[in-house]
Amino acid sequence: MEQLKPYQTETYFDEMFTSEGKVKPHYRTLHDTIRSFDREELKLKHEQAQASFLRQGITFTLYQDNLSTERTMPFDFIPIIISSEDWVEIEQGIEQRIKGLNAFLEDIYGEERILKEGIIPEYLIKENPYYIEHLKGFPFPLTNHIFLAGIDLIRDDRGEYRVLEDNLRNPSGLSYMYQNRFVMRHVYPEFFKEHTLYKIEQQLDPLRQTLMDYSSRKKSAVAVLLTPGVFNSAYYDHVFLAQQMGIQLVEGSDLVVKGESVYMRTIHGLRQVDVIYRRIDDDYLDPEQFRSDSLLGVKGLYRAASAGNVAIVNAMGNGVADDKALYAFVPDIIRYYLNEEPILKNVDTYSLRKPSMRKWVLERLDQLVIKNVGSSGGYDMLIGPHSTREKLNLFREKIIENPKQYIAQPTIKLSRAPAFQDNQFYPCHVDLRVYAMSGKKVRVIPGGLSRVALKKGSLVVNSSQGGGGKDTWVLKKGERV
Amino acid sequence: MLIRVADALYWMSRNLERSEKTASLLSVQVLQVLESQEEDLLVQEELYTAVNVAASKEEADRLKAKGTITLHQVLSYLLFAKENPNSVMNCVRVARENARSVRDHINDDLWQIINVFFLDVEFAKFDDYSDYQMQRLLQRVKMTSLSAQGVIESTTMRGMPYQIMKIGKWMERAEYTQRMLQAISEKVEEDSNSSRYFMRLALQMINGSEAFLQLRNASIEPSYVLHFMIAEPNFPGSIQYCLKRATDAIVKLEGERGSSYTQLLVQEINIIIERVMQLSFEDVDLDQAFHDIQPYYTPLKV
Repeated sequence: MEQLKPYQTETYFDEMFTSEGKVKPHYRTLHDTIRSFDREELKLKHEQAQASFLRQGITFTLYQDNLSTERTMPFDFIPIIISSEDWVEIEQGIEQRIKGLNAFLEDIYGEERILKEGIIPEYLIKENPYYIEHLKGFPFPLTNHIFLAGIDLIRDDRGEYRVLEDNLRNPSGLSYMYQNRFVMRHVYPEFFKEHTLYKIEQQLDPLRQTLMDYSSRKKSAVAVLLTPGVFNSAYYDHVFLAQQMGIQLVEGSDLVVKGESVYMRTIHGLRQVDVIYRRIDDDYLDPEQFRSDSLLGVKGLYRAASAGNVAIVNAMGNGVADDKALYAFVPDIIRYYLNEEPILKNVDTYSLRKPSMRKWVLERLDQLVIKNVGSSGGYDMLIGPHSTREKLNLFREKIIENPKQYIAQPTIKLSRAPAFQDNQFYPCHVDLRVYAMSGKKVRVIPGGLSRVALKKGSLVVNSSQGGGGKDTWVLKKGERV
Repeated sequence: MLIRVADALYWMSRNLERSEKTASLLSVQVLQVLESQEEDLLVQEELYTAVNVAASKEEADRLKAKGTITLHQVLSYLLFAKENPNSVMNCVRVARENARSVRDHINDDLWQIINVFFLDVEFAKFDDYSDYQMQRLLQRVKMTSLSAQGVIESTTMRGMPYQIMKIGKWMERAEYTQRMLQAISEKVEEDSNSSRYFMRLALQMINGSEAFLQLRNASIEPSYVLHFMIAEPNFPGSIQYCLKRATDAIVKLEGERGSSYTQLLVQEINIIIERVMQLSFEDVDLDQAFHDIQPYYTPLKV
């Protein structure tokens, strides 16, 4: 087998190698360690790691043709290493972004200053399917809307971090970040030698405390995680978080609202619930208030939250702030509320509402990325340079028919990192989902979930479409570089 | 503890126990058939009994009506059949589904034992198994259930989840012994000459031969065997022992006074214990007596 060695980085930014074919300083120790293993050892370890995920049932559920299968997320053992300097920038940037977005949400469901001052066009909010009008004036606990956010970052061809997407509703994958580390420690202990990393386990207790911040009853407050159940694709995430935070994992049918308070049904009667970390979408949360056909939610939950008797996090109505159309305005939002320049840049985004812009985009479809503003997970998306004529024409028709539904972005040269698959090393595109919690204060979990497009040449990192995960190390300051 | 969680733990535990009981019964049966032909009348009775105990009398009658019952049919139905809710595969699936829905209440080792076993057998096809592999599979089922119980005993906190798993296990075992007694009684009634034969079989199928022989100097007297299966205070498969343990677990869960949550279950168990104690072991009409008790088990739910 070819050993791990520098390859042509081409026009991409590579995490491990410079364009001159040198190993970057913060990867040198790891690079040498990997080279000291032979093919059989690496193959064996790779299989062990994969089996370990399966054995522990760390899976997500994929639905196709009405059949569900449990899959593990493919794991790649070459970690992404982030230097302490880079991390400082990411950490500050994420914290700033969360604060800005939170202020925006509070304003949108309050005074609407940002609309009145014309910073953001009103239609973007009022026509947004995730905007919930009757939340205006709602008593959001701590005036905080975001308990847990997942911010997707990429690096462009110059290595600059940029925000690709904000996830302020139900970002999943935090459990994978932890399990990637646990499996890594277990199967590849040798890789850690001579590295000093931020430990991520120490962030679990703060996560619980942050959740409890939202409770109005101080002592003996009860928090729960509300899951749609075992059939949800992110069920493992729910199990892991409930377990680690030491709270009950409940389903809608376990909760009942009586006299504007929420209770869970235990074998010894009803017990009051103060904080609900829900992993159910707004639409399904309460059949009395939202979709009446929802079987997952709890009748009366909205009333109880309005009365201030229970905190629902992440707050209802957050979708208005992580929508792909609003995304382009986030830098303005940060400037407006915080009076600061955004630390992390966006990816350039073109709205297709204006005919002139639309014309410009339609002429260059084969060079651009087109995304549906309402979808996620890599669905309904066109990557121009990698597409077929049929698909280009299909998107052309879609855009002409419903321009509001789509946005365009230049094709970013997503950075790459080496991966080991099918017994060989080759470069794959990566991105990074960084998680941040926010209660009385904001806290960014060091590292994140590095997602990798394991199919050769592919740009799609979503696990539902063949993407995998990597452990992500943040080096502590003073680490030998 | 949430009611849903209690339910799931209870059924996880019952299904694990049931899979082990069915597998043990089948490994006895696979060995029994080796020395004789399937057409042998006694073998036919045994196979009938196996299906009667581990599935239902209706299914056993249905197989009998079709002609000679084959070991192949019995294994296929009791181990793999999707349409048989009590097949080992279905028990394992149900146990795993329940475990998955309460993963945050069971420890990781327990979950992994159940999960790995499920993944290993999920796509197993009956026709691919040789006799040798079949024995290995049965052994594997048995050992999985036993390891699960070992993990529960040695690592689980003695809190509510533990007690509920115990209740499930002991109730399932009590019901199994009771079904065995009933099936054997029917056979003895039809053919009293073979009573010792069936008593020996019953002991094997409840995994009690060794224990019985240690106690009784090898005399397979029906009255001794029946007493052993029903009321032997030290045999962990006797109905009395199982019910005693289930009751102990309920008391630990609820305290001496109990609560409305387990009231119904406690009442039912007390009725069964009373009736079992009243049984006269010389009674010819055991079959009827068990018929009377049977309905009390079926609706029992935590």
